[in-house]
Amino acid sequence: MTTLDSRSNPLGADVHVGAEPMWKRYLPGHHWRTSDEEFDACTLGFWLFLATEVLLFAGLFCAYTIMRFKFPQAFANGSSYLDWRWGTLNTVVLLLSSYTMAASIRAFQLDRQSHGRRLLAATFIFGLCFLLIKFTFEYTPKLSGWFIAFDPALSHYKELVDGKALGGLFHHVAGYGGKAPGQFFSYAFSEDPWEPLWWSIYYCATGIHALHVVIGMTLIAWCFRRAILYKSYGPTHYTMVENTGLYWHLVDLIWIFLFPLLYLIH
Amino acid sequence: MSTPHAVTPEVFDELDPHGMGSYTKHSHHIVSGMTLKSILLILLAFTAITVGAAQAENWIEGSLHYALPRWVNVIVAMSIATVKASLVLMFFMLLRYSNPINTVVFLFCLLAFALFLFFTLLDLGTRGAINPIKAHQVEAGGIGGIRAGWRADAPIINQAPVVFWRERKIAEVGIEEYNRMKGILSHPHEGHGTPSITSANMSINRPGITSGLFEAVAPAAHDEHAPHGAPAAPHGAAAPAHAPAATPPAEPAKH
Repeated sequence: MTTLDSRSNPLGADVHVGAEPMWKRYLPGHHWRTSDEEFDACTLGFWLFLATEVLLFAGLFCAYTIMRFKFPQAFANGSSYLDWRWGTLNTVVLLLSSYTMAASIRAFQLDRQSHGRRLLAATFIFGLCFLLIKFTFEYTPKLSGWFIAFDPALSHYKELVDGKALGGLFHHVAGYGGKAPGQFFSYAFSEDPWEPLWWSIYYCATGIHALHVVIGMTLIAWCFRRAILYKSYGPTHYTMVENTGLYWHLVDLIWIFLFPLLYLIH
Repeated sequence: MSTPHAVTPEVFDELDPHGMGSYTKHSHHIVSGMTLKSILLILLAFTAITVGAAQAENWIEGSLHYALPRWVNVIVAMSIATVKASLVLMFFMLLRYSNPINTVVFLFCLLAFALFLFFTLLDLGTRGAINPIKAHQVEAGGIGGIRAGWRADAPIINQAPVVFWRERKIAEVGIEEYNRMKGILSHPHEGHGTPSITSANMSINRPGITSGLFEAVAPAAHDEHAPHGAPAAPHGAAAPAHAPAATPPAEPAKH
């Protein structure tokens, strides 16, 4: 080893030399006095971004409130179409994913690399579960009437099944589908003329939330890739995982408010 | 920024030029594993409570035949959600342990949202005081020609899409089959279907022409298509299509 180690010789640091993990060799830019300053600035910037995300959903929540005041009966009817059990399951999945995300940041803070990677993977899988539950058990039946065969709600509609697909994997319930937003609405058994408005609010709010889940999962996958390939995150440098965690917790926060508003309040 | 350092930044430490040694000692709090696990359990417990409150409201309506005022469940659910949100913010997002400016930023964002909501509700909540007809749920009347669906070959109708699709289904399968399907589809979960009875706590004064007036004008044509147990609003919405004399905008579409 030379007297110039990679700490004090950034130009000499080779990314792919396996001597030290990348988090140890990370140096903040020279305009920062300390690493703390860089971390604080990055986190503050990310909190400012999170504030804009909250305001995005604030617009949706405001639309929800206005429509709830103007069309209370349509909203009472609309929310009765949603199954609170799927909503509760999704809430539990997201809370668990928030825990594994916070735990993975803690693992990287303690330089427990494989533990941190495992927890990142668990968070990603929980996010995937959330999306699968939403699309398979909630969106697809409502939009098209096609239920997956092992859907517990299907037993209630046995008499109305009029078609099967993919070797019996999907069953079609006559008359169930068509609960679509706005112009795409075609459900025949509504009680209130303003129910398409409820569906617009529902799909817009949960759809934009699902988009944020996808973005969060992309960030987590990126962190996972860097952790596996370069060991980029450790006790002295974990800003990227920290900010990904903040984004993911925000996604969980939004769902914590969406869930009672859509599923529990009638 | 305001975190104390063992060595002030002006004094250059050759062995630690970027102050990395003080990284975890001062400003980077590592939350204990026990804290994270207990916060998770508390969050799950609050989820159970909020779901339980909603189910209790349904149960009370079903068994005790008393409909709680709507605001009760709203307040309960929203306060539990706020508590859960603050726990996630403080412990999972580590607001508690980081620079107070982050908390200020987030609270300011919530203040902006509160302003947004406040002025909107101030307007909406007081429209009834100025023009009584705007106080409550908008009643569907004639709405002019709209397309029933997104396809270019969809018909132009002059009734609420809900009414159009209902009548189309009745024409397709017949009124008995329609009522049978409706009986199954309208009660999706145990004790959790569309409420067919409104109570005094939940009913809303609907201004405008009442359904009784419609029936007095055109009773015969209307009764055949009436689904059982339909509350007043669909009657008011379905009737314009069947009573051309009562609503002028319905006439051009009928003839």
